[in-house]
Amino acid sequence: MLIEPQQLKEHQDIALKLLEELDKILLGQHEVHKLLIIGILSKGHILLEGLPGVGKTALVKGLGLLMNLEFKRIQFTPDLLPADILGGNILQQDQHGNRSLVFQPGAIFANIVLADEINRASPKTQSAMLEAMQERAVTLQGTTRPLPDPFFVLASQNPIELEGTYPIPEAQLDRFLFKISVTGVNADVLAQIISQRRRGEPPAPTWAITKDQLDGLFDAMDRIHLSGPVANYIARIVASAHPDAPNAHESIRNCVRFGPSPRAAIAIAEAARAAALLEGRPTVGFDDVIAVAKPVLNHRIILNYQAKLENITPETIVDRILDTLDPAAIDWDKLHAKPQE
Amino acid sequence: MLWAEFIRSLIRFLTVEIWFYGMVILVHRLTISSVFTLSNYLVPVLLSTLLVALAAWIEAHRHLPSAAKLLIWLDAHSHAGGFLATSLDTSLGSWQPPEPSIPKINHFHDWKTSAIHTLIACLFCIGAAIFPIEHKTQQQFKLDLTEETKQLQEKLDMLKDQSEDITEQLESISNAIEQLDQANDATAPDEVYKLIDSINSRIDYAEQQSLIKIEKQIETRDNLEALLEELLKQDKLDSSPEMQELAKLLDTLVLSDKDLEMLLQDIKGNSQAQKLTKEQIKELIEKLKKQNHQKKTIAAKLKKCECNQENGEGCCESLAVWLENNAPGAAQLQDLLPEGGMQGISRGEQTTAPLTYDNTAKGFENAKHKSIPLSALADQEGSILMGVAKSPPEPQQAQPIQQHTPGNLNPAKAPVKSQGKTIQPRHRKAVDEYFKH
Repeated sequence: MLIEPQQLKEHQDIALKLLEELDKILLGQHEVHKLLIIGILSKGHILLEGLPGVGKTALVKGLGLLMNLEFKRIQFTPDLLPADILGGNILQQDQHGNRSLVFQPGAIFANIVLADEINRASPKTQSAMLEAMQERAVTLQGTTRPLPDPFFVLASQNPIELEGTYPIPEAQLDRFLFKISVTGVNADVLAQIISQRRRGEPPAPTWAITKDQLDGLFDAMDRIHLSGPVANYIARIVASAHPDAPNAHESIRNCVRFGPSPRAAIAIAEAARAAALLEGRPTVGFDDVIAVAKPVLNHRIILNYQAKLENITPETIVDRILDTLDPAAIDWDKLHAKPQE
Repeated sequence: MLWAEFIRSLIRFLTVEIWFYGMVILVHRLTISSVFTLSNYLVPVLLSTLLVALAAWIEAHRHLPSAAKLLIWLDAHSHAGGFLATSLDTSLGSWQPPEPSIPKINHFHDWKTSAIHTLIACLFCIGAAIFPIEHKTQQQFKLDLTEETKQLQEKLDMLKDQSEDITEQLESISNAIEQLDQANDATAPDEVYKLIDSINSRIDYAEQQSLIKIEKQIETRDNLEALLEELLKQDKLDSSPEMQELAKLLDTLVLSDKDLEMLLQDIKGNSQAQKLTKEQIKELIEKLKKQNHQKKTIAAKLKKCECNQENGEGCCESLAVWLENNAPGAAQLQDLLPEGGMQGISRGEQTTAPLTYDNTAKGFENAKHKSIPLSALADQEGSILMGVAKSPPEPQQAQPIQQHTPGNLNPAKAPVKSQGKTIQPRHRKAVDEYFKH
């Protein structure tokens, strides 16, 4: 049974309010904010990529304030160690003089973690971080400690100054729900920023989402219906991005080395649900899928050198898939008959 | 939905069909100057319309997917937000799906445009049907009948010179010859040659009629001459009963013989006396003799090949006798032929077959054959057996030129004269050649 319209309206209003507040914090980045909220509602980790000074850190900071959740920032550097992130056992002496190893949680034990310039940390540290992201728990010396719920990692990375950096391996990039490119803003927005912001500092938010409201949003997300045809469409998008797929486009065969994993399909479905919620709909539509397909897939499609020579980007590949794939090209009757058999 | 799609496809296909038939009609009118008649095109139009309807129905079905597929398609293309797709697998509850806005199909014209296209096609079709063809000379394939017409005309002229009593009949034949040119149609050569043969028969019949009349006149004159001579010999000119009888006889004859009437008027002059004088009777006898001689000459000409005592040359019977006495025998003919006539059909043997006229040759011993004398064939030269009838041949009206109808693909069976090129009838030529040699 679909969620009632009134209930959904309440949750949509909260989500829209969150979006509105984010728009106030960082001017001219509405689409980025929207994707950020979709990512939060999907309980996914987000990788923000952009040049220095476009507002990545400010955005995540503002989000932490709006979410009214525990927020921590980790500045990744080459000498950063896993223990700096995850925490460790340290020897402590109590008032009776007894000494024992006590776990000191790292910076990752927070609801929202900003992993600033994640590609500057060593692979060892990155791996520790990314493992925690996937498992949502930290295992240290045989003891597994769950991370707080909700748990989001909002990482940022700089696409330039790659010397002395450690690019995140593709397999680990897959842990991020979205990879959002934060671009610069136009002159009007810039004028607005410099006229309204003293030294560029965003205004302090006057409103913040409560824990109950956030839980309500997550509950509503679970009740957003993903219909069979839409699910089939998501599956076909992901499947056709593989070079060895029978109906793969010629450019995909020539340019794609590895296609997205099944996790990508799950991510699209979840993100599409959040997009539907944001639109105030209890059902996931094809447009929701199309809206989130690019940020979900663009870091999951691994291109070969041929693509680099031809200046083909993952975004181009996704665009071609969306252009050529017909949402209605399914034999619904046959598909519907299968579960009955 | 299906019917709307069907009608939409049907209109498009019919538009194409109308254009096609418009082109066909126009080409017909421009090339063979054929007038459009519905009956010419009714069957193909009906058949093609049925085919068009079938094609439209198939296309309508192909354009319309199943209901589920249609819902999914509508959901995706009308930005319905997944409601229509969701309705396939779960209840929407209190949610009212937004009204799907069906996007326009770009590759189809809308109704208005389609109607305009169809209207233009109809106008074109009607315009093609009424395209003027009066300015075009009707091209007709004609047989080369110059020789036949000339022969008929010569024959008729000769008959006109010799026969004065059958003027109306000859006039009718003359008209028929004139109409021959109008009835000349190479697409129906049989009819044309039938008409020529009919005119020929009419001329022959007129000749016979003329001959019969002349012979009757000759006989009457002979009798009258004999009677007058008898009266003169017996010197009974004054006896009134004989003279009254003669006057009655002359009156009767005059009614049926204009020549005789003129003759009598010439002899009597201005005299109103009923009785003829002795001198007048003598003059009458003399003139009768002279007139009879002329008529006999005409009769002899009309009799063609009939033998008479005065002229034996050219007579068929005398020709037959001459041929019997002078014609070479089969053996002599064979000797005259190169290689002794051994150039015939070999019947599969390695030797040449002898050319013989009887059953003495090898392999022809038992052949049934009948020898026909050459004289028997002479009469038949130039004649065509049209049939056997008891009554004399009826004059045949010249048939109007048959309108060429589209689809009449009868090949020309006879010589045609088209665009200055004369094609001789091979079969007639062959027959002529046969009788010449």
